[in-house]
Amino acid sequence: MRVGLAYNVKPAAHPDHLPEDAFEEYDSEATVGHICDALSRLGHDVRRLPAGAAFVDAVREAAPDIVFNIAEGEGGRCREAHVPALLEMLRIPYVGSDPLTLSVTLDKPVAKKLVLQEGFPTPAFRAFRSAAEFTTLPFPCPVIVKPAFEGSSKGVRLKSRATTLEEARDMVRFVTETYRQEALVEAFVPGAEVTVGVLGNDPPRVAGMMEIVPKSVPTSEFVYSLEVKRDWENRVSYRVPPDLPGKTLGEIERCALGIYRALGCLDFSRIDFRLDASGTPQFIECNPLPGLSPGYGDLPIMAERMGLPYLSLVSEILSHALSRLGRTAA
Amino acid sequence: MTPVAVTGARIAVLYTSVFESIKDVKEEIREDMDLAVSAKAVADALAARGHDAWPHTFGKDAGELVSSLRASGPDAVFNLSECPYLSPEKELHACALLELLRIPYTGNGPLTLGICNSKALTKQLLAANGIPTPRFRLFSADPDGDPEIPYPLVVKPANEDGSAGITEDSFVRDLAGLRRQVRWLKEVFRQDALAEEYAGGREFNVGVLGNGTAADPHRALPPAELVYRNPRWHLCTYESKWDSTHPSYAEIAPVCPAEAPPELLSRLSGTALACARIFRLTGYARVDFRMNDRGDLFVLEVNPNPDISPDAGMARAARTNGLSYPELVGEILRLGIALGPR
Repeated sequence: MRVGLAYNVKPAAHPDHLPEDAFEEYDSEATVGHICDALSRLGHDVRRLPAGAAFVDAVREAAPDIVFNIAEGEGGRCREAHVPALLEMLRIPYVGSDPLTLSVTLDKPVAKKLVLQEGFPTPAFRAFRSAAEFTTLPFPCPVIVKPAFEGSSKGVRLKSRATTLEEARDMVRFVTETYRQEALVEAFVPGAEVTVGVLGNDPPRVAGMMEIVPKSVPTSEFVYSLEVKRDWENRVSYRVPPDLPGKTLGEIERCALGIYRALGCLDFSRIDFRLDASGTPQFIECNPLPGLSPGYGDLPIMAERMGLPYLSLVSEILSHALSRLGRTAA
Repeated sequence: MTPVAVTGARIAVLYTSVFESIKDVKEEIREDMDLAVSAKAVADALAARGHDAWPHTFGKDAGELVSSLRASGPDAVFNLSECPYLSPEKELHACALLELLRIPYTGNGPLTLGICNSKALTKQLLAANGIPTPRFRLFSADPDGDPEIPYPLVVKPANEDGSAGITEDSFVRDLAGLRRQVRWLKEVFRQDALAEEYAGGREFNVGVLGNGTAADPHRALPPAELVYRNPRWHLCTYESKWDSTHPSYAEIAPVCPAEAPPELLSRLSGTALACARIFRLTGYARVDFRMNDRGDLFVLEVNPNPDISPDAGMARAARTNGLSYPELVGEILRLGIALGPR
């Protein structure tokens, strides 16, 4: 089968006028290479499809049977929706979630409201358009401040955890001015950070759970920030499965699968939680385009440690999509 | 990209043609619903304001649409497209494509269009934000027992724009009626049914303009009322909106500004503005309400792509607010250009 890979690659040079993590969600050339290799080893004819304004030309020329979409897109808060929307218009099937799910999950306040409405706990939060709008909070510090419309660690720094209203306001200013969007201010949850990989549809399954354990700071102050992620081998241990009571693991699994369904995820996704004081998982974020970099992305790491090597992970993701679409891997 | 002037811009008015987007419509009212007529009215209004504007059909092929947009090179697109490929779920796709091409466009973006086109998702988001909306149930199959919310109910397609799929038969008082409508929607619209409590009472709507930014905050137009001059009618339907030969067309009459106490007008506007922020509205939209006998307001729908023909409610509310039709169209264009490529 001819498989197109839709992706955005990190530029070699980072423009001065953009924040240092402007392209953090994009994939490296190496990652793109790894996924292409995996698809080739699975017997497919692979075409690279850079996802920019020229994507429409590339995909029409390549005429893939299916597109393996890991493109984060260019532009604003709905950028992840661009590629799948175009593919639907061209009637080309693709792997992964649809434009609506990709738009909803990238908007943290909207996603959290919907998840809360479905009965899954999420920390208290408020969104602010500017530092001037920030005067007080209806919940106590410490809080964490992050961009409202970005993926996982983009815009999250060690200083994003604020212990006073003054610190929080400073971070709201940093976020709104640097990333030019609303800042999400969320009650900081002091317990363990656990991320869950979910695969499949009808029914989806938990492929792995991973606890991110800080090496030198207390969990109650730990922020899984950009600085930490870029130096993860020195700063954190990844514990798969988490060293938590079975009842807690069961509750995390129930929440992860419920949220995956509630937000309309398809084929694969990663859902992040933190445990509150009573051990209840609080929904932090759902990433329907989780990084697939072997040895670096959370999903490949936890899958590998759960006995699902990288090639099998890519194979399973593609199989779920083909099965859902009623097609076979010819 | 250099800033686009607010006069003298090249604007493609993108629309889906009548045969692409209208299903099961009587011949005599197709012309009223044809977006080509709206597109021409918009293009004429833009021309009156000094722009080079032309209607641009969505067509049947996305590749051809991309080619024709590139060839004509608009500075921005005035997006009137609805239900491309006969699919309301694809309402968000035109603007996603324009974003991919880095072309500024008017109106709402993919997130807002996608959520608002799903009635269930809309209601969940309203409820999650504490905005009253009638309780509802979704049916993908024949209801086998009582729906757990009290009759009478209004049965609508779960993912459809505006009044499509809503007739007077949509108002049901019993299980037999509910089953009949669920089956009908499955057959005709191939969609799940959403059954919601009938809120009754007076019906209002509020148009909203603005991007929700510091430069262009959301602002409410004067609330309008749909006055039910004949109590035989329970809801605003497809026929009452589009079929001038149907008796309800004249008997459900728009009044703008609504004749209502200032406190009620203020509540309507305030709730509409809250919806604008919650749903991340940009450009223009309309929020539809009903008010029960106790004076409680319920949001029925947030319409992110309301009709902006010269004789439609949005244009009427704008006129009430001192905006002529060319000024309304010009303002919507300015709002789209202000956002730049999204």
